[in-house]
Amino acid sequence: MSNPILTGRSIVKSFGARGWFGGAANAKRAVDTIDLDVNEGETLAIVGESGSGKSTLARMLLGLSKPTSGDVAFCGQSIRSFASSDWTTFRKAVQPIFQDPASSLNPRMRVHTTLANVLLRHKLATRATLDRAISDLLSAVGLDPAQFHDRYPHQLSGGQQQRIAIARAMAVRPRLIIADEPLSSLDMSVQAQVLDLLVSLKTSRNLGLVLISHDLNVVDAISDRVIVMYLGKIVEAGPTRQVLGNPASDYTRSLLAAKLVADPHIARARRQAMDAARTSTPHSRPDQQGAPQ
Amino acid sequence: MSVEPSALPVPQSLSRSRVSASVDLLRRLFRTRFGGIGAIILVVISLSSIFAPLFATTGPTDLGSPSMQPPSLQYLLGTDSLGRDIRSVMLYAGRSSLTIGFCAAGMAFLIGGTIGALAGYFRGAVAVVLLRVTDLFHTLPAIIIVLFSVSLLGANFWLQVAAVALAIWPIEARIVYGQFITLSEREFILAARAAGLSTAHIIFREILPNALPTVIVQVSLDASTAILIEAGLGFLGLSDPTVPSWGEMLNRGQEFLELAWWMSVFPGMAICVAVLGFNLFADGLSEMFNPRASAKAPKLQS
Amino acid sequence: MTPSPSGPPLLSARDVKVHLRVHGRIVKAVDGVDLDVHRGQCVGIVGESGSGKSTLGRAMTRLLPNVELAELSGSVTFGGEDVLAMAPDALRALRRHRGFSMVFQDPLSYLNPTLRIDRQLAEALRHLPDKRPVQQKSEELLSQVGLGDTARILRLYPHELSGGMRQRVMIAMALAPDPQMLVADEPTTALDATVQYQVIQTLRRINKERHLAMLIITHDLGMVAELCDQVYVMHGGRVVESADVFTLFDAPKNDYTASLLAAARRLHQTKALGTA
Repeated sequence: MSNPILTGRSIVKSFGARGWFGGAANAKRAVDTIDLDVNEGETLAIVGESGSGKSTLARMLLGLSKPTSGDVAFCGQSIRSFASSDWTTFRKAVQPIFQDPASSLNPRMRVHTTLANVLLRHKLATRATLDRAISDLLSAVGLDPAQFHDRYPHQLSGGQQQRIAIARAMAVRPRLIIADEPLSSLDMSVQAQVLDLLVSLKTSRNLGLVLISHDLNVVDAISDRVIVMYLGKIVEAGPTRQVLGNPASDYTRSLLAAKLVADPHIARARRQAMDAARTSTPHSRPDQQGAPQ
Repeated sequence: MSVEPSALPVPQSLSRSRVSASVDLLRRLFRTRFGGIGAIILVVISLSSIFAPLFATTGPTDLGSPSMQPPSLQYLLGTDSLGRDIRSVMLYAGRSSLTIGFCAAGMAFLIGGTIGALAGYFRGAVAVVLLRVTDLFHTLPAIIIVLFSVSLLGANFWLQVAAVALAIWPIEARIVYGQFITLSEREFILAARAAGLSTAHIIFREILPNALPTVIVQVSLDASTAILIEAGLGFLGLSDPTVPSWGEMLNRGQEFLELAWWMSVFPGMAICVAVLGFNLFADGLSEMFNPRASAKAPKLQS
Repeated sequence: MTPSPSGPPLLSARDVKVHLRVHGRIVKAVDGVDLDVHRGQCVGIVGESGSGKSTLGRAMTRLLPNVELAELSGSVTFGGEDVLAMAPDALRALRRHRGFSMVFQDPLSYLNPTLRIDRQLAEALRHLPDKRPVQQKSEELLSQVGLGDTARILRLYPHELSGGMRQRVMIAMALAPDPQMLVADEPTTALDATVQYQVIQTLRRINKERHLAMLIITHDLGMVAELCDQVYVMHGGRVVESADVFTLFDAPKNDYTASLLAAARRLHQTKALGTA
C-alpha cells in the first residue's frame, strides 16, 4: 500500500520578467505541470539533463522555493497552508543533499559547528550531550570523530565533504531525503563509497529517497521508480526495471544509448553496430541537446 | 564500512587558538605588496594620536608660542598664525580625523550593512523599497548632505560624524547587498534553510561571516573617504571650531600660503598619509582575500 | 586489437617532474612520468582528482598557470624538439601551425564572451599558410567537428550556443592551426550525457580520419574505453600502469588500476541497457 509522504500536483515554475502591464510576456516554464508522488521508504529517481527542470523541482519539493502554480503537499497537507509548527515538522522530515559538496558546507564553520547548529536548533541534543551526538553522527557516515570534529571544509576531500553533508541531513532523523546529483562531483572510487553509505542508511532507517541523477547506472542500481524529465515536463515514468529495460519514449532510449560503459569491448561492438546501421546521413548533424528523435 | 583516511595534509594551524590565527592573518597581510605598509601607517598614526600628549610639546589649544615661526628645532613643524605649535596641534587633530574615519565608516557599515543585508536576503518588495532609498541617498552628493545638516543643526563634532556616515552608507549597502544576493543562493544556505535554522541565525552566523572579507575592504576605503570629507568640511570652515582638525588647519593656513607654507603643507601631508594608509590597508586586505597570481611566480606561458 | 604503433613517438616525455610550492610546503604534483604518444594514436591519461594528470598535461604543453614552482624538470620532446626548453617564439610558432593544441573542460570560460564565433575562429586561423578566405575555412572547420548550419553559428556569441556546440567550437579552434596533436583535458565532463556521447564520437572520428594524435586527460573510464588506444593510469603524481586499452580493462596489473575498474563497474552494469 502506498503512503505518499510528498505529493506534487500540477506544479509549475516559470521565470521571466512580466511586462510593466502584467501578463507573462516572456515567461519560461522551467517546470511545466508536474505530478508526482513519493511514498514512504521508496526510492524515486528523477532523470534528466541540464535544462530539464529537475533541480528547480527539487527546490520546490524541499519547500525552498514557491511554485508559480500548483501545489506541494506533505503527508496530505498543502505547504501553502503550513503554520510555523508545520514547517518545523516538515523541516525535520525532509532533508536535502546537494551536488557540490564544497559549497554545501559553510566554509567558515568547522564540522562540529555545522552539525551542532542543526542539533541544537531542533533540540536533538543539549550542550552536555552535544559532543556525543556529533561523534555518533560522524561515525554513522564513516568518519573518525577524533579526526574530523574540528576540520574546516577546505581541509576535507570531496567525498568527506559529502559525508558531512549527509551527516547534517541525517541529524534530524528525516523520513525523506532529496538528493540532487549527490555523486556527480565526486571521483569514481568515492562515488561507490558514498552510494553505499546512502543505501545502507536508507535501508537501516527506512528512508525515502528522491534521487536526481543523470547517471542511469546508479538509477538502475538503487531506485524503485523513475521519472524522466525533459524541458520541464515528464516524458516517461514508471517502475525502474520497466522504464530502463523497455523504454516507451524515444528520449529515454536516446539517454540509454548515450551511456558510456567502462568496457572497450562493448564500446567497440556498439560502434560497429552503429556504423552498420548508418545510412548515407552525413556526420555533420546539427548538435541538438537531447532532442527526442 | 572503512573509515576514510584523511586525504589532505592537515596544516599546522589546526589549533583552536585565536592568537595563532590572528598571527597567521598578520603574516599573510605582510606578504601582500603594500598591505603591510598600510597597516604600519595606520598603527603609527593611531598611536601618535592616542598618545598625543606624550609627543606634543604644548596642549591642543595653547596659544603661547610665538606665531608664524618657520620649522626649527624648537618648533619642529613651525607655528601658525595663532601661535600654536603645528606639530602638537597636528597630533591632537589626528584624533578627530581618525575618529571621524573609524566612526563614520563604522556607522555607515551598520546602517548600510543592515539595509543591504535585508534587501539581499529577503529580495522582493522589501529589496525594491530599500534599494530605491539607497539610490536616493547615493545620488545626493556627500558634501551637500553634510552641509545641509551642518547648517541646520550646527557644527557639532558628532553630528558631523553622523552626517558623513549618512553620506557614505549607500556604498556599503550596495556591497553588502551584492554579497548577500550571491551568498544566499549558495547551497550551504539552502541547507541551512532546509534545516529550519532561524532567519537571524542564517543572516548573522551563516552569511555575514562569509561576506565579511569583502565588506571589511570597503569599510577601510570608507574610512579614507570619511577623512577626506572631514578635511573638506574643515577647509570650508564648517567643522566644529572647538575640535582641532587637519582640515581646519588647512583653512587657517590658506591665507598665509605664501608667508607660512608650513601651516598648509604639513596638515595636508597628514591627510594624504592617513588616506594612503587606509587605502593601502584595503588593498592588502583585498589581495589577501582574493589571491591573484603573485608577481614572483616564474613566467611559464609564452 | 589496436595495432602497435610504429616509428618514433610524436610526443615523448621522460622523467617529467612538476613540484609546486603551496603555502610553504612542496607538493609533488607530477613526480617522474614517462609517456609516449605516436602519430595517429589516441592516448588516455586517467586518474582521480589530485593524481597530477591535469598538471602533467599543462606542463607538457607549457600552459601551467602562474603558480610557484619548486621544480620543473625532465624532457618533453615533440617532433624531435624539447618543448620545455624551447624559446617563446619557437613555441608560439609551434602552437600556430603543425604543433599541438589544447581543448579545455569548460568552453564558456575559454571562449571570449564578447566576440562572435567568426572572429574567434579567425584569430586561430590567422597564421596559416592556407590563403583561402577566412569565412570558407571557418565553415569548413565547423562542419568537420560535426556542426551544421555553419554560417549561422559563426555569427553567434558563445553564450548563445548550447554546451555541446561550444565544446565543438573549441575543438574546431584547436584544429584550426592544423596541429599534429590535440591535448584535451576533461573535454566532455561538463556536458550532458547525450551530447557527451556525440562529442566523444566526433573526437574519435577526427582521430581516425585525420590521423591526428590525441592525448585525452580524464577521470572517466567510460570515455577512455570509448576513445583511447593506449592508457596511462596516474596516481599520486606517478604513472602506476600503462597498457593498451583492452589489456588494461581486461587484465590490470596494478592494484590501484584494479580498484578503479572495480569502482567503475560497481556503478556500471556491463549489460547494455535499453537494447531490447
